[in-house]
Amino acid sequence: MKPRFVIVTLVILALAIPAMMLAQQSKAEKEVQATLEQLRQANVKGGAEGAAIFDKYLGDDFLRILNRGVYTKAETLEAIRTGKQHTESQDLTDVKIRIYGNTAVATGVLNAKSAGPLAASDTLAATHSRFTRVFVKRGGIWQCVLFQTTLIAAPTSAQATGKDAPPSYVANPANYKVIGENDLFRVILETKPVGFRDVLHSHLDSAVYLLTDCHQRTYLPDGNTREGTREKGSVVWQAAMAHSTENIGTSECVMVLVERK
Amino acid sequence: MKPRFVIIALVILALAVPATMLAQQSKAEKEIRAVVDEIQKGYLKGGVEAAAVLDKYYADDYIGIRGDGKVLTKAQEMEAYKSGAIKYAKNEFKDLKIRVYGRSAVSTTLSFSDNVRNGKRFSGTTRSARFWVKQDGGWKCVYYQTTRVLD
Repeated sequence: MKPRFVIVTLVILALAIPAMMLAQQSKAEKEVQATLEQLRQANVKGGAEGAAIFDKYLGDDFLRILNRGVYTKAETLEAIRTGKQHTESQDLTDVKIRIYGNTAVATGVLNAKSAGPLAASDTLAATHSRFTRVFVKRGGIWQCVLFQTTLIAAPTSAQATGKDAPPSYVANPANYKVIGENDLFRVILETKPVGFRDVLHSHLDSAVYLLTDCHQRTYLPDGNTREGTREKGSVVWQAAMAHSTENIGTSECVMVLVERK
Repeated sequence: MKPRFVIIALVILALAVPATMLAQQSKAEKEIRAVVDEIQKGYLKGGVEAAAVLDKYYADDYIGIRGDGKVLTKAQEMEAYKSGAIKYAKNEFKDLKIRVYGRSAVSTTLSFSDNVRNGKRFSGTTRSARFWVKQDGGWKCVYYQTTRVLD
């Protein structure tokens, strides 16, 4: 074999191999992008149709990590199929896909309006989260083995939001009464009847002592909501913030707040 | 070649291949477990020691998603430890699960942390996931995401 021929062959190979790898990478990215879209549509479709798509594109070892807990593939399919999980809208932005052989990581921002066990709340709420999906290629299909979301904190800090919203006892004087204060602390008695939702207000850093069981829904300035139950006699620490709360329990909710000035 | 010999050879292969794969899986899990442990210890040490651990085990294209949804690159996270902007008082993890997919892996943990980031204290439970890729003979973390667990 002539040396010139060998050199030309090597040069062609040196150029061709990276080009082929890039083409494969690009093909894989397109496939993962298409799978993300299938999963997005499955969320919105819901029911048996949505569950069938999830069944195809979720690995049997799939895990969904949310702030409310961890869910398996079976739990995800069940919530979708039965309609317990309802997604009114969902869109993905800032999506980035990285391919590592037969595995891939997709990250981005997920804006959703949804309700159910797989959402941030059981009632319809708009959320803005960072998401990650990890995919593994199996049998020619990119299957999702991990899905995780993290709620993005409101753009304004709790302190800044507190500046905008009036104090609780100003916004809702009938339900938040100042029962004592000095230069360092303010003590507030909060009383909320069943079904009552107060007006958006702010709190300073505070310790809260529950005088009754309280089952509340909290509405945050960024549109997110969350629900929780606090037991009578418990103490909760909360950083300065603004919110509106609703008593969704079956009895009056009473607590004492000690705010640090 | 005698048929009996061929059958015996096939049986040995059929037993040996899954056993080898399992051994490799188990080896990878042990390696990742050791790296996770070292990273967690690094967090607690803080400062330049933490930054050195991250430099060793984070891939150059690492992306970290913190509990408030903020995104940090490897350089930003290392700088935050070096400058003291991130300090851990406590960082305990449990329920470490590792799944290996050839030269990639996913690990998940449940952690209790007490830390200060840019003057803001966070004390609570988080669930975190890491995605690992084997590079240059070692496991490198290319993605980390943490989600605060609601009470």
